[in-house]
Amino acid sequence: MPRTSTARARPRSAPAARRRGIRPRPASPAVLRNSLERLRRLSEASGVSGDEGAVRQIVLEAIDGHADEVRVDALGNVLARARTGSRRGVRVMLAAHMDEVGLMVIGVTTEGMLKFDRVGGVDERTLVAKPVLVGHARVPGVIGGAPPHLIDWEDEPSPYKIPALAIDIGARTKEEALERVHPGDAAVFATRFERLGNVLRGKALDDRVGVATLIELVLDPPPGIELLAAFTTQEEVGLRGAAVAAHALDPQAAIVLDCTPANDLPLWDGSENTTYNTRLGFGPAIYVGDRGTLPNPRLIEHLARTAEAAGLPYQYRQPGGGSTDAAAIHLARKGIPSISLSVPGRYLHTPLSMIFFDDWRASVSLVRAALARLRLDDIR
Amino acid sequence: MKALIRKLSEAYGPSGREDALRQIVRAELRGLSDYISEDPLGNLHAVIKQKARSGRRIMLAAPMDEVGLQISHVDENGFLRFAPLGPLDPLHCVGARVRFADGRLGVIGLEPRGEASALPTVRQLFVDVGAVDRESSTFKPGEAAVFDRPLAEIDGRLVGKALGGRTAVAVLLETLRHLKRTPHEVQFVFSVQEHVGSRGVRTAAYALEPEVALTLGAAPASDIPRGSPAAIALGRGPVIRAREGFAISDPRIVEWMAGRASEARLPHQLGVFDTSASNPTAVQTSRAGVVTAGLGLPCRYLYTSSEMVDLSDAENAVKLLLSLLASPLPF
Repeated sequence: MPRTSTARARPRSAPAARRRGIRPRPASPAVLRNSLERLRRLSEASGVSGDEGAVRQIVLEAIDGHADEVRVDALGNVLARARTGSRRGVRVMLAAHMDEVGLMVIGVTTEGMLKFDRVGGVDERTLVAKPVLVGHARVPGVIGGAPPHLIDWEDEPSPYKIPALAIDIGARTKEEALERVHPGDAAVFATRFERLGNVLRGKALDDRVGVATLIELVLDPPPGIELLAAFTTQEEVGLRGAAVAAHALDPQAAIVLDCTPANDLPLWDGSENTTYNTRLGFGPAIYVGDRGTLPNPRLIEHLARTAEAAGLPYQYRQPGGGSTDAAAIHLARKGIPSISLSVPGRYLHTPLSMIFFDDWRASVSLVRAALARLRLDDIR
Repeated sequence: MKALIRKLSEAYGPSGREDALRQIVRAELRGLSDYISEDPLGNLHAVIKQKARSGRRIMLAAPMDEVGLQISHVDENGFLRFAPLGPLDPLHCVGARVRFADGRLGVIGLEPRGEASALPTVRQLFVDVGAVDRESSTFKPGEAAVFDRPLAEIDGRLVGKALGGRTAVAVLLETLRHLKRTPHEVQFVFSVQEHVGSRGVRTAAYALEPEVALTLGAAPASDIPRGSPAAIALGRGPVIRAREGFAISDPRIVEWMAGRASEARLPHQLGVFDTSASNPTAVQTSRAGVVTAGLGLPCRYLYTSSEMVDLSDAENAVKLLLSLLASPLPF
């Protein structure tokens, strides 16, 4: 683990941590295999904000028979109470958002090309020439634009912007296109999930990695707490699912599991990068404040102390902009002490996001250990 | 009241870390209300129960938090990079001293810049804590600091950090102390996270379900050289806000306050503010809706290390509130 002031955790010797009863047991190879396979399915599923059905289906199948109570609410959130056997422990809401940023077809031209707009903050710079899948039928297409040979750069200063682009599904007329797609259909990038050693790459790892973590926690919940899982909708367009989920669940505390940008590439002028947000390889990122939430200070301490005691790496996400479902959750009802924990990811909101396997596994271990020793005194 | 304001102004309480303020306010509240409670986000509620059938549930709220900064990175030479916590203006940062929760001090510096006439940006600023390298630094990301300034008195006016908001807190405490008779249930709320968008007062309103709410805070005074001609001036009484940012005050409550102030011959000013760091709509739209308006204390140099208020405005605000609470509402 690289040495830095923001990753202060020094791995303790395993026996010492085990004596204290908080050394997380590593997941068995079978559990890991299942989790990775689930993450692959989640990453490749289409789930643009407001149209999360395919992701919801994977979640429901995964937790079927493993939770005391599962329901899908009016906005499409999956709300589940895990079988922890404890109704006396702290009532904790864990949230991960099912939706991803993507595209929506807004019209079809007479030539059969699909005009589109963004849903959520898709990186407009990365659109041209990317393969996409349109609608529930996952019709393959490609985002077409003018070839570089024929662009008059002085006349057309922004050939990569959405007005200059269209999704090409190979249709020759409007009628032909309308047989397969419709205005309102969502489109996602057609990126396959891959594991390359410690690197996991795929689309929508923001926040399918959080969804995968939350499924694992529901399947094998930490003891001593009442775990209320919320797989939320419409996070990327305004934290809408989380707001109603928090109102319904009315928890005593909330932890949001998300994926946050790592802007940790070196600066090309050789100066120190001081605005990386998070860095890959430094462990899960504990939030200390973003535009939407000032996390409960005791929960910040609780997560950091747990990581140190368990010998897990962690980093603090740099304070500043951005927000997570916690922004909506902590203001629900009479207020809910909340915090977010993210897996750092490079190139989020583009066709290909990239995380480190180790960061993800450390985040699963950290949440599990933190929940297992969470008491009401830790949040009051 | 001056001693109380001094204690409040000098205390450490950036948004989200209001513990020290909560302790001071709690101690001041002892024995003054029917009950005191603290909610999950850390707001303090001190409630006077309803005494007559003509009474209503009225919430009075004042912010405990202040602007500050939050460490985002400790660089290789031990300088701290930071993000603003609330409406911190880089222009007012250079050369300012700041204090962390445990009393450690720092001074804000500015990188050498090519274009010296341009306004500084947050990215060009850093806190110098006297460190020499990262390895020996005791600071970590997330730690928050506020301006470090003792309260001063300049020709009868008070100058200090966080002074506008904390004077509003003192006004609420004084009002509660002198409140002898009221038909209403009066809910005194000392709120958290006001300067990052009125987050505390929003959940407090949900918990207390008021019918009417008055939110107190600093109102930017513009009676300075080349200031606005329709100035809000220091010493001319509390400001009845017709509008604050996106929040339009309920005209009934504005008329009620202005009318009562005139009857009682209390100086007051009407104010319209098109921008605001706070967000009273959070209270207005709580549950089934709350009749809401803002009452401001004129304050110069808001969100700098030297905010200036006039004590008479605070005293008149207390008198106005006591007069408002003494009888049933006209609406």
